[in-house]
Amino acid sequence: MKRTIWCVPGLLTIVFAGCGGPKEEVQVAANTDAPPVLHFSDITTESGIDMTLTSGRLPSTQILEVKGAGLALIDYNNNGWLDLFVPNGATLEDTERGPGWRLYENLGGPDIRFKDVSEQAGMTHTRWALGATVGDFDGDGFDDIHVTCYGPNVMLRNTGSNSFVDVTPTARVGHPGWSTSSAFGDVSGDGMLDLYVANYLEFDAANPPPSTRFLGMEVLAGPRGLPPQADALYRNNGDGTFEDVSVASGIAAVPSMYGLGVVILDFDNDGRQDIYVGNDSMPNFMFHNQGNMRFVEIGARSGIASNVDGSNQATMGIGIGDVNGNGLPDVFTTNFSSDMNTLHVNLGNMSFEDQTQRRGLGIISRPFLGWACGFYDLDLDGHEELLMVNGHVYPQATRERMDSDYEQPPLLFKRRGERYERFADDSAGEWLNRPARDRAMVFADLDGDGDIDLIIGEMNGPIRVLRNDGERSKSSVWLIVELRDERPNVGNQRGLGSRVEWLVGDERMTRWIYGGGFMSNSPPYAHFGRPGAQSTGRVRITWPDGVVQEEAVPSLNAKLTITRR
Amino acid sequence: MPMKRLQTVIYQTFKHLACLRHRITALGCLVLSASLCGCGGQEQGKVAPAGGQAAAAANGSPDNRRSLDPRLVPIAQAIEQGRISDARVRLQVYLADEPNDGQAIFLFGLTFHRDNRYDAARRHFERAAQLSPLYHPIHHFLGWCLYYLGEPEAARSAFEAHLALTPDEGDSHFGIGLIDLEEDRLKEAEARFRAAIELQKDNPGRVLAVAKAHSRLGDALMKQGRHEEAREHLERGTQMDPDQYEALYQLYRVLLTLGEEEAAERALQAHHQARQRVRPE
Repeated sequence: MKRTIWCVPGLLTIVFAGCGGPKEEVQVAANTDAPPVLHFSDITTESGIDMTLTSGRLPSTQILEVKGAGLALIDYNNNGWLDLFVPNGATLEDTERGPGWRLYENLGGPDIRFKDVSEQAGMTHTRWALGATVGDFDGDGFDDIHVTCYGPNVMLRNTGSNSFVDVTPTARVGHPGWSTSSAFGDVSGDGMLDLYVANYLEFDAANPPPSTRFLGMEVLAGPRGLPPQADALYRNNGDGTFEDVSVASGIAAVPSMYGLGVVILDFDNDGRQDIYVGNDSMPNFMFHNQGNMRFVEIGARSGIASNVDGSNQATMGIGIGDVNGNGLPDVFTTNFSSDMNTLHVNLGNMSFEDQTQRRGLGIISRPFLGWACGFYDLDLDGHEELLMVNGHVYPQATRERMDSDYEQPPLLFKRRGERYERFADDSAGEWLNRPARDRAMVFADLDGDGDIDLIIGEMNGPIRVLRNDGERSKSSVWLIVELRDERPNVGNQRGLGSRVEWLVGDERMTRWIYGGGFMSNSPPYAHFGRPGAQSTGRVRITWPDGVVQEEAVPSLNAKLTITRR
Repeated sequence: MPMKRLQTVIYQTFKHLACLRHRITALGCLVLSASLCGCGGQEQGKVAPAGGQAAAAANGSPDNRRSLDPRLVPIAQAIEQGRISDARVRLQVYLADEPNDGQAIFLFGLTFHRDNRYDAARRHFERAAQLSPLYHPIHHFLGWCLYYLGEPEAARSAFEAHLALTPDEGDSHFGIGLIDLEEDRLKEAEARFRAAIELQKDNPGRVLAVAKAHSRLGDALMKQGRHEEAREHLERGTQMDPDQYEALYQLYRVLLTLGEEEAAERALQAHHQARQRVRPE
C-alpha cells in the first residue's frame, strides 16, 4: 500500500486574496508509471466510527423504515478537516426516542481517525431523523445543520465553541410532517442561505397502512396510495429567523409530490439559483428562479420531470456532474429496480435530454434499486467516475421473486470515451462487490492526500469508512478549491451554489459546490484530478449571483481557498 | 384454433396491459402463437410427433422439435389466456413424467415471464434452450428476459439465435434494435426498426408491433438529430397505437425542438391522457 500525503489542510492551504497569493512548494511524489489502480480499503474498525444505524427494525414492515438515514460532512470546528454528522433514525414503537444522532470529529492526519463528540457538542436529539444539510445560515463563519425528520425538523446552530444548540423554534423551520431532504442555497440573491425542504408523505407510525402486493408478494405499502406532503421554501431573514414563502414564491402552486431529494444550483447560468427536486414515483420539479423570490415550475417542459419515455421514476439519489463538458450541471438519478437509472444532460436554456442509454447507464441498472450517488474523479485520471449504492426496500426481494436482490452491491462506472462502463474488478476492494442495504454515501478527502475517500451508511447496518488507497499514475495531479465569501452581510461564506472551472490550456473541467442531495450533502469544495498538467492553469469561479472571478493556480496538489473580491 | 383467431385472443388478452414492457411481452406471445400454429418456424405446418422425442427427452440430450408438442398446446393456450395457476399445475404433472422436455420447461418458464418474473423465467428458458434448441420461441423469450435483467449482450445473442431459426421474425429485430439504441449504435438500431416494420406491416395481428417499431424508429432518428423524420414516425406510431404514452412524450419533445409549440402541447396532453388510461395513478 503506497500512501503519500500531499498536503495538510490548514497547514498548506493557499489563500488567494485577489491575485498572486503566497506560493507553497508542494511535494510531488512519484508512485508508478502504470495507469492508476482504483482501490479503497475498509478502515471502519480503525476509524473510530463504531455505529450501527437505526431505521426501524429488520425486516422492514413500513415505508418509514426503508429510507435509512443520510450522512453529512461538516467542518464544525473550522480546523480544515471534515467531520461527520449522522442523523440517526428510531423505531416505529417510539419515533421520538431512538439511539440518537451522532457527531464524529475528524482528528486529522493521514490515518482517518474520528472521535465521537456527540455529547460534548450537545447532540442529544433522539427523534427519527433522515437527512441533514449543512450551511452557515446565520453567517457567523461556522456551519450549521438542518436535520430532516419524521416529526418536526431541527435546526442546529453552531455556537462556534465546538457545540450546537437547537434553534428550531426561533428559526421557524420545524416542519412537523415527514421530511426527507433539505438544501441550503441563496435563492433570494441577498447573500443569506435560504432553505428548501423536500417532504414525503403522510404517515402515522401508530396507525400504519396495511400491506400491499408487488409481483404477487405481500409487501409494505407506499408511496402510491398514501397522501403526499407539500414541500416548503423558507426565506432567510438574516436575523436568525426564516419565513415560509412557499405560497408567495410559487413553490406551493404545484401539486404535492413525494419529495425525496433536492439540489439548489443555477442550472441555466442566469445568475439565479434554481431548485431541482427529485420526487418518488411522480414528476420531478425544476423550479426556475425568476428573481424576486418567484419560481416557475418547468420540470415537464425542461425534460427533467421524467425519463425519455415520459415515465415518472422513483428518483432517490442525485448526482451532479458535467458529463458532456459544456459547463452546465447534468443530473443523474437512481431509481427503482426493473426500471433504469436516468442521466439528464443539460443542453442549456433549461432543456434536458435523457442520455441514459447513449451513455451506457441504462439497462445495466435494471436489477438494482439505487440510492446515494455521485460523480467524482476517484483515481485522478481526469474523468469523474460515477458511483452509487444500492439495496432493495422489500425484504422479500430476491432475484427469483423480483428480479432484484434485497442486499445489493454498489455500482461503479468508469468513463470510456462518451460512455460509461461498469467497473467491478475485485482489485477495487471487497466493498465493491459485497451486497448490502446501503442508502447513504458521502465523498470527501478525509485524510488530506488529495483523493476522494468514502463514507457509506447501511440501513440498519454499520457506517463504513473507505479510504482511497488507489495507486495513482506518476503524472496525475489534483486540486481542491474551497471558496470564501467574507463580504459584510453575506452568510453564504462557502459559496454554496457556485460553479468552479479549472482551465488548463484548452481544457476545462467544471464542478459545483452546492447545497442538498439525497438526505446527505456534498463536500464544501470542488475536487479535480488530472492525468497530468503542463501548467497549473487558472480557476474561474462563478459565484451564486453570477459574478465571475478568475485566478491563477499557483501550484498543484494543493487545497486552494479562493476569497471573493 | 386458427392462427388469426388465436392471435386475436392474445391481442385482446394483452391489450389492456400498460407499459412498454408488458406490450413487448404481448408481442412475444404473438411469436409464441405463431409457433403454436406452426406459422413461425421453418417447418411451417408441421407438428413434431409426440413420441418421437421420447428417447432424447429421457436422457436429457437435445431434441430436434421445431413446433410445439401437441400435448403441450392446451397448456400454452392456458398461459396465453392468463390461466397461469392452471398451466403451472398441469406442467408440474407433465414434467414429473418428462423432466427433460425442453418445451415443457420453456412453458413453465413462460408462466413466470407472464408474471414479469424474468429471473425465474430465465433459468427455465436457459435449460429449455439446451434441451430444445430448435424450438425458436425459447430464444426469443430468453432474449427479452435477459434484456429486462440488464444483460444486453446476452439478450442480443438470444435474439440472434432466434433469428437464425426464423429470420423473418420482426420482434427479434425490434429487440436487437433496442439493444443497439442502448449501445448508441443508432444507424444499426434504425435498420433493425425498419426491418421490424417491413416484416410485420402486412400482418394484421402485428399492428401494435409495427406501431412500436415506428415509435422506436422515431427515437433512433431523434437521437441522430433527424427531427422531421422522427416526428413522422412518432406520429405514425402513436396514430396506430394511441396508448403509447412513451412515444407521445417523445413526440412532444421533438415538436418542441422543431418549434411547434401548439402541436407539442397537444402531444403532451395526449401523453398524459394515454398514461392515465394505461397506468392510472
